[in-house]
Amino acid sequence: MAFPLSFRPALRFRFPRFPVAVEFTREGLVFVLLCLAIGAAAVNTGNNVLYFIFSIMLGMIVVSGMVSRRMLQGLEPVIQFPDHFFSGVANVCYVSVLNRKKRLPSIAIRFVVRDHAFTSISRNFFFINPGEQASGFTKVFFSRRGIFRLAELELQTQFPFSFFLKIRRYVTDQTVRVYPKIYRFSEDVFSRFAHGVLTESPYRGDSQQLLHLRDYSHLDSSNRIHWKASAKADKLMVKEFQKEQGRDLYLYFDCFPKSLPDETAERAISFLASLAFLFSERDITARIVLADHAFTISDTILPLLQHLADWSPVLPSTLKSETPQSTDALVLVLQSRKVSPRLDSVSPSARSIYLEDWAQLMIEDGALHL
Amino acid sequence: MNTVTTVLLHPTDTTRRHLRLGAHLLVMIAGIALLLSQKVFFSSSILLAATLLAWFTVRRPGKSTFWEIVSFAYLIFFFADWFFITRSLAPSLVHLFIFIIINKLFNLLTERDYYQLYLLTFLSMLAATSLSVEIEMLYMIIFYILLLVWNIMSLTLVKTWSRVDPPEPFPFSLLSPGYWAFIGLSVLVTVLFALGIFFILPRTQLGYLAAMRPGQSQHVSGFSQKVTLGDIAEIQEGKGEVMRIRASSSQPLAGHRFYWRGIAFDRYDGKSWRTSNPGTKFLFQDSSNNFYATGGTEDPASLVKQEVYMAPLDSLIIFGQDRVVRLEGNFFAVTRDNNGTLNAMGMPGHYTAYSKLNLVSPDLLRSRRINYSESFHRTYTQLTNRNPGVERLAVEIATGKTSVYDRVAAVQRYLETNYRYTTTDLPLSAQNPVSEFLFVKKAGHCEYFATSMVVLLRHLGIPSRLVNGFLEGEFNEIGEFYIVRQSDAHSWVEVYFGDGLWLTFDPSPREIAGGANQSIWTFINPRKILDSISFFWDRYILIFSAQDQLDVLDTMRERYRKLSESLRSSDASPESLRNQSYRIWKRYRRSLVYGVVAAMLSLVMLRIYSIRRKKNEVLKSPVLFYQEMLLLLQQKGFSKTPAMTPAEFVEAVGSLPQPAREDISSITSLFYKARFGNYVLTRDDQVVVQSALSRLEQMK
Repeated sequence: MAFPLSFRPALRFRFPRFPVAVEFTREGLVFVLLCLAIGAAAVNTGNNVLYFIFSIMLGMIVVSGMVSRRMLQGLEPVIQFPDHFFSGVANVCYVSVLNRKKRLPSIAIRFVVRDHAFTSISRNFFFINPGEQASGFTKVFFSRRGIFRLAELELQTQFPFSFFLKIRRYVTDQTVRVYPKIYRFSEDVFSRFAHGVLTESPYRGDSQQLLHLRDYSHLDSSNRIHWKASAKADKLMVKEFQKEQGRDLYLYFDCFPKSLPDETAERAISFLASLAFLFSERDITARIVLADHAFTISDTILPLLQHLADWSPVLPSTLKSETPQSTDALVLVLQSRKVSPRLDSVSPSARSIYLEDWAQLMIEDGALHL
Repeated sequence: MNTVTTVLLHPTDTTRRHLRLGAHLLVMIAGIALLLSQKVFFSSSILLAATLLAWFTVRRPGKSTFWEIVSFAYLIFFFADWFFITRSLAPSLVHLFIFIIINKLFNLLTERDYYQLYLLTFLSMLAATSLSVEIEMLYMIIFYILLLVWNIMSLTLVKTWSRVDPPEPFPFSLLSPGYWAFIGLSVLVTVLFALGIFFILPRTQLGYLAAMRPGQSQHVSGFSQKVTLGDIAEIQEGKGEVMRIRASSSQPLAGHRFYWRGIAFDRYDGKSWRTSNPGTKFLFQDSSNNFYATGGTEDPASLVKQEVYMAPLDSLIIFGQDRVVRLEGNFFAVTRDNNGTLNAMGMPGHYTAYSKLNLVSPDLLRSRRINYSESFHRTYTQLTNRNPGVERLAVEIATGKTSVYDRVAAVQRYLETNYRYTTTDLPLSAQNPVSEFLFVKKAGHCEYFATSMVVLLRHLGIPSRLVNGFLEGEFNEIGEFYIVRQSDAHSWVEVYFGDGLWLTFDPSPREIAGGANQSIWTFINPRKILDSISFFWDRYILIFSAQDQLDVLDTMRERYRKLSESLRSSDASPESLRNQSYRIWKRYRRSLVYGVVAAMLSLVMLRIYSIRRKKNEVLKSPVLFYQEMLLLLQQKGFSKTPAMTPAEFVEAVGSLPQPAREDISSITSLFYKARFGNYVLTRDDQVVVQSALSRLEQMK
């Protein structure tokens, strides 16, 4: 039986050297109840054999406390987080426990980190030899983005009898920056996005995208002749290609809620981050504008992610929104139908991307998480 | 992952087998304990048989339909058992309980099954201890605790180990000596704590377990109101234990022979003895369950305290060294007759008697004036038929003896030296057994000796009577108590010396039993050790009471007071300190010797352990064993310079004999592999290193 943290019966004993918290396991509860029953029977009947058995049971509790305390002595836990954490996915962190005792091993040690911000980290170490270190990787899952301060580590043991869970807490001060959840779009979603959002360039260029067919002129390279169309038209036709995407791409965030927290805004931030990741993957240069901050996405989106980790989507009182520098810039505005737009029109050619449209598409697509 | 089911799926077969073995042994111990209680013989036999069957037949435990059917069928049987077979709820519940244990044995799958089985065995042990309080139950409790601790600890280890991801091999065997040593130490510490807690826990009842005394009462016919010659001999044939007595006194008791007086008779009809006029009187009782045989004016320091622990006897006689002046015990009442025989109403299993020893010097006795009334004289010199031959013999023995004491002593000495003690070939004459003993057979047992002495004394007109009781018993030096058996039943004589003084005389030519001859072999006598444990179990566990707790506190307080007084009042002279030290040594010498021996043994064992551990470390660590080799060779005159590599050093010692060069080469090779090649030395490698080092050490 595991009691929820909120009302798990925990006894804290302050020993001279370090405090140990005690929690009952199911077996321990049964044992204690049995102990009390036998003690009551002994007192009631005056039967010395029952007194003796009751004493033995109490002696076992004492020995259990001594042994488990010795197991927890001389241990140094360490947790190392990776540099980048993403919410919504299982991240891996490295935990280790050093046994500084010279002669005694530590047996059945469980490394635990409990925090309301994330699912508990736990890793079992069965046998740590004296003077040696045991280590390993374990998963941690953050449900939300943000900057979290880890205050406490725990080493637990149920050794020797599994009646009580002994906990020794270690103070730590580590900060974890968790980025927003990143959705990884499939090719189908991307192509829809590219088709519907990244519009075709009206300008001629040397990309592989066909712009149109035109009549052949003596200056055209014969490589460009579209033979099929020429056969149909009974005249030579050449392919004209689009200009490479050289347009500036601006992506504005306009999902500022009236009050926080707001789930829509959180999803919008994740979508924004996902788009930024997509652009970075496809080598698409883009400018991400967040009210008073702007980031250029080229080969790294790390500054953006670091900013988004604890960014509060509140529209500043003095808005210094960036306007596109070129007139042919592709301007996208990320909005939600549930949240009123807050930005003034940033460009006459700005196109809105609605979160709800893409959310449904991603659900149907089963968008993979990063 | 469902952790409940991983226990037996994850571990290796060996570990699982060991865990199952532990569970089966636990059930066996519980079954044996139930068997020893002698109350559930059939059910406990079934349990033991089923345990063995489960161990040998079950390969892979698992829930099966078969057991579900069996359980359902048993449910029907339970009601049949209750209403038709045993026709009682209690035994049918016991049968059901045992069935549940057997069912669990055949279906040990998850950790929860194991815990439930442990709980069931615990309840079985509880039931067994409530049905019997014999010393064997203590042994069963100790074995059970040892096994239970092993089982629970092992299950905890296996449970934790199965949750480790990625899986790793179990680091040691659950049957390894080191693990068992840890278990043993844990149990020892548990028991020590338990004993401390046991002694401290407040008692709400006095804790006597008189109603719990097991077994059947022993029949002792020699302590009834009328005894025939031969009754004592009949008792002596038995080997059963009658009582255990711990005697203590502020006076020295070395060399004193204890006669545990039972019943006295004054009327002899030629073949049997009885009490002519009991004249029963109740002893005065105070509020602390003390019964006073005298006015209570005796100096407590002069009394001999006897703690008596009785086995069930079909007699209500209170035994104790003559003359009992006070009794402590949970009696309803105590009576005394005219012959000084103490009878109990409501005999408890344990009581304490305080006796005043009648130690009077022969000179005082010779000069003592003996006065008594006519009726008294008539009673204690009564003879149904005066035998001229016996009278002649008595006069002949007493010729030249002027005092009563001398005459009595002469008669005793005559019987001791001229007659043979035997329990066979007895004078069985239906007419006059005493005459046949005195003049024909000249051999017999204590009854004949004592009866003859009384008859002879009465022919001399000396008031005397026969007493039946027990002679001392076997002294256990370890626990410092006497074990009195049926074979110690004895008859002797009491002679009156006036003013209420009856003195004991024993004409039987038997050697003094027991004695406090202590030697080292006494303390390692297994039988005496077991007897001591049994005594400790009875005295300090079964019968431990609130009064005992108070007595311990009083004793500690008194000792502390005396010690602090003596320290305050003593002068600092060397002689005074020497005297004090000698007194302390004399009082606590045994404890001190035990303590010193135990400490020395511990130090030696610790040293051996430390040396072996260091040796193991050397063998395991490549750097250490290589350094060990260099040190050995340095002592032989071969030093490695810092500039030399290990391989160069092997070349440099080329002048050594071939075997030594090979040893050095093999150690160096292993050093290279372990130190630089991440190679972990196997046990074979360690053996190679160890033997190579030994050879190098012995190299000349």
